[in-house]
Amino acid sequence: MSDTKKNVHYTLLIDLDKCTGCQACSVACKMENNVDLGVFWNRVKRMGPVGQFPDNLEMFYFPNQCMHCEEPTCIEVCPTKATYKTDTGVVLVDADRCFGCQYCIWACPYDARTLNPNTKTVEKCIMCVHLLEKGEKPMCVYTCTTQCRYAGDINDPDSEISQYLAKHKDRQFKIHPEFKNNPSVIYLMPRKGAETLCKSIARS
Amino acid sequence: MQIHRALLISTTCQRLSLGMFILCVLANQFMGVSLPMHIVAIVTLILLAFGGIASAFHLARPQRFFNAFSNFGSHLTQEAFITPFLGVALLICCADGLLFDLGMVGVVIQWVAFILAIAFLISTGLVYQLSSRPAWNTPLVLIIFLLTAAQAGTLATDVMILAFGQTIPVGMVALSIIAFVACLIAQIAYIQRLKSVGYGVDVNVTDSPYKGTWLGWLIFGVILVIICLVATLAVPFLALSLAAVVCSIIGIVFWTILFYKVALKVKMFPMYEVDLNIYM
Repeated sequence: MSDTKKNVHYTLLIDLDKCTGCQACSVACKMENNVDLGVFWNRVKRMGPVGQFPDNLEMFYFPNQCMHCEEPTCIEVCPTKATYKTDTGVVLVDADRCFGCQYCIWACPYDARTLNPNTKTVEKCIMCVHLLEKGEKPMCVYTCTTQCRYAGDINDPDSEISQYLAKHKDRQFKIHPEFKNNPSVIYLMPRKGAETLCKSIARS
Repeated sequence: MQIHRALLISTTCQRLSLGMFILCVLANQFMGVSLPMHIVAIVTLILLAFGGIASAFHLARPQRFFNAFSNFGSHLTQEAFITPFLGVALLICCADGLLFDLGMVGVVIQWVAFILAIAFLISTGLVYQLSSRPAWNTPLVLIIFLLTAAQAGTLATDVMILAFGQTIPVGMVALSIIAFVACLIAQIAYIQRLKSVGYGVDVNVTDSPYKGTWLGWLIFGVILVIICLVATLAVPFLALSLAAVVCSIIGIVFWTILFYKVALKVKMFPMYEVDLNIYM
């Protein structure tokens, strides 16, 4: 592997200020990766409403998928080493090794994994690594109707994701850092109507 | 995520069998009873094998079982790694006194099995002590797992002692009471903690859908065990002692169902005020 490739760290950035909860990313993910019925690699959750209308009401949509953590608990607990991390920071599951004990499902704090009842192995978001390696965007990023998703090499200052993050650094936060998994997916806080909810799930 | 019946069976069998083996070794060595350890080992092995087979059924692809030995950092791999050693040690204990007489070496093997049994119980207890499940993110998980094994183990040892026509020694009576009380205190502390864990876990076990399971545990795991235990100590009949073990097992099953149910209630991504977790 070349030195350039060694420094690559693929990740996702999601601007919650723009997400309208249309679920187009969920559908695109299913179509691109042939995700079976009842299995979800990508979901959009509704957070809230909490607080009182009109001034203190909070609600937003939260696209949720594998956080491709720096220190993933799923890798730590997997007895078969089916879950592993690539050199580019993407966490994947080797379907040929997984025996479906589902320990990783219990161990993931982000509700990102599902047991596929047909293949009898655990599945989750692969960040469309097959597309990223060809220089293309993951299908959820490509399809997002509001362009709230960015993907790419976060270590490359010239990448689209790095440049967008540089512009909006003040709003960045990571989900549930108290679990010490150090999620690699970056979220940007909504500008308005999210203070309590964001305080509940994250620290900047 | 779902509650696996296979895991209910396997963890219950594991706690009963290994708890009994551990306590029988202690009773033989320090309390002046002479239990035939080959019989104890046979009962332990049968229960463990039953639990092990049940456990394999919770795997979606049990034919890949041997992949389980891959990650020594995982408590499941540690469990899988200990299993063959424990199995061999218990098999030797079965044969010792039945097929041959190993003398002092046999006692050493019993102690090896004793240590492996404790290691096995600890690794299984740690499997469930997960930070990602707020209801399980407490040392009480391991403590209760070990104490339920001790509780069922002491009661089963009482059965063994009575079954072989011996008198339950004072030390064993004390251990039975201590294990039961310590386990009950830890379980009450765990139930209290569930009321304010955060992440949407605000479980009151007397409310639906936990009430039935909680009542089951209270009736079988606490009230009936107390009645049977006190009766056994007053009138040491085998049937009473056996009833105490049966109630304890049913109590463990109810407790484990409750334990799984509360782990399923979690809201990492809050939808309502009650799910908020702003004081972490």
